[in-house]
Amino acid sequence: MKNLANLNNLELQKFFSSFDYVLSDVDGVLWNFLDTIPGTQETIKSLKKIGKKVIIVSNNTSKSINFYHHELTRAGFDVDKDEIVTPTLAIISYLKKQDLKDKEVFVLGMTPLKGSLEKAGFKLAQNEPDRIEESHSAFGAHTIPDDEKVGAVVADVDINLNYVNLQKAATYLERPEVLFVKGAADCHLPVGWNKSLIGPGYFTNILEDKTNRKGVPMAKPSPFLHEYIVEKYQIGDPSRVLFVGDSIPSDMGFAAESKYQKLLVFSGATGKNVLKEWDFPHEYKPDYYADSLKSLNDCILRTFACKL
Amino acid sequence: MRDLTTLNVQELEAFFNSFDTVLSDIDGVLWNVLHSIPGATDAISSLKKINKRVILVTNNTIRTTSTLYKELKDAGFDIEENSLVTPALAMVSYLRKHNITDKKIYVIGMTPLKDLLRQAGFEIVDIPAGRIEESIQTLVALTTVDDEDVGVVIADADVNRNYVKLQKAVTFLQRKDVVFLSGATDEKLSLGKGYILLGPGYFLKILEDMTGRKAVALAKPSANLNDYVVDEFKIKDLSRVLFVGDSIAEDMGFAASCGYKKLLVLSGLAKKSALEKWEFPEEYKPDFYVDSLKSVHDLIVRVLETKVTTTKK
Repeated sequence: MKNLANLNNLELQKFFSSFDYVLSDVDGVLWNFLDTIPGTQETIKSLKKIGKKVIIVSNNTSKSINFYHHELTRAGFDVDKDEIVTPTLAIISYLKKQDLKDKEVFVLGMTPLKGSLEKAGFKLAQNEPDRIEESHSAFGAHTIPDDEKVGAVVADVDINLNYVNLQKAATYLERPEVLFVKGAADCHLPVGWNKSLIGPGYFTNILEDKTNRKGVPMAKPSPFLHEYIVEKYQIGDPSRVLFVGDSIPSDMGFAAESKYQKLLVFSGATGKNVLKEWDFPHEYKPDYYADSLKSLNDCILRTFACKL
Repeated sequence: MRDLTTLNVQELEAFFNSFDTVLSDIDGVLWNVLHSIPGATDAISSLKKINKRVILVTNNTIRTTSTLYKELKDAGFDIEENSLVTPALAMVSYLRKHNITDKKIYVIGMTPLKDLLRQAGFEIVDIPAGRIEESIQTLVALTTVDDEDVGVVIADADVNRNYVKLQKAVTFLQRKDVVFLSGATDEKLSLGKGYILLGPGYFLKILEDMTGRKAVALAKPSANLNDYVVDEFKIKDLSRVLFVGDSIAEDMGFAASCGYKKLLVLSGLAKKSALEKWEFPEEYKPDFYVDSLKSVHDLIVRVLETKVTTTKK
């Protein structure tokens, strides 16, 4: 694990020659909830100036790509709409490859995901109501009947998730031919500095436990997300990708599985203390680390001073 | 484990003399979802005829106690309203016993439970079921604000359970002095006709996992429910209680942890095959089993007839 700031000029030249793509996480790398991390906008600009392809990869499915693009642009990040990847896109790509035909998709998820699925041509199955009569017979009436028209269940983060819809999803999943796809599946939902709520992972775990099935994961660190990225951007050699992230399990884990190079930044979920005592799998160790993405820009300026 | 119907008269007399109180489960023993089990009403009457006190225990809080009582009465069961045990009643008793009466209670549960708590003088805090705006800020504002007046969190059955309600509970439970009670803890909800759905246990686990705390469960098979039964009905000798139930895990497990005698009926969840190939802890094995309560009634009649015959001689 090398500190980016300590690389000498020769090492930096070798470093920058070793990758063509930069895949960057958003939360904890470009911004932290409401505040952008200083110097990160310049880094994106500089990376593009030195000819690197920049792709933003986020597990956040609660925003549409359009909205995400709008937010990033407004915050000064020079990123195109088709340079943003979230599990939503991977879910759509995966479902398109399955032979769903005119089968419906039952979604546990929020409006941005549902809207994207509909735009992509999928028919959504109707969800159960937000509130039902307080009786077992009403509960049974809403959740027990199957519907052969439903061919897939997509389970993603949903702050309006309720018991009735969760049980309905479980009912559909009892039919083996119904596809089971997972979006965000973390057990914690970060909502602020040092604050996290119940994550969607608890609910996907319930579905997996009850139905004895494993959902196909589409969020970092899933290999399905990696497959989607490699296909979309025609990445031939994953070692020519530098992945920048702040989370060890989801970012470094993802990068390790995908065989990317790894840059860990300490501007988000992870503190420097992890360097002293590495509590994670050995292969998750980043190749490089830095305080924040700004350090990468400092290195670019050092190396390419005359070219920029 | 013996089939009760295979006992001879002397053994049956000894059996009936070995207990003073009968604690009986309701679903699967007295009735099955929509209809009474034939002979069950007779069995209750006969048990009372031979001077056994009959107490009915259910984990079901979807009906109020008075509704349950009325349904039982209408179905022909000869019982008193004050001989019903539900997690709701046990919760009220627990809070009173532990002097937690002036704090507000945050409830994930249904109207019957909330009404009972209100009637008992408690102030309830809850979140109405329904959709919230899809914004993280709204979510945070609604679910992460604490209220120092809330001193109890109750997690019970709720068909309208949702994410927001669960998250609110997690927030209150961060305070160590907040009391954490639960009703039924099963992961499976059996709705008759073989339908097994997601049970309350899954959601309770989320709360326990997020907070690192364990709820005091006031429902079978938790022995905590037993404290209520013993207190309320002044039971001195637990071995002189016969527990009748249809579920091995929940009823026999409960009875085992309480030290009761165990009678398993095969008119509900448990099937004969479970007895032939025992896959549960040894201590859950019932002392006796029968097809249904009808057999208990028939056996009581047999014993009484023998007595009459013997007396006549």
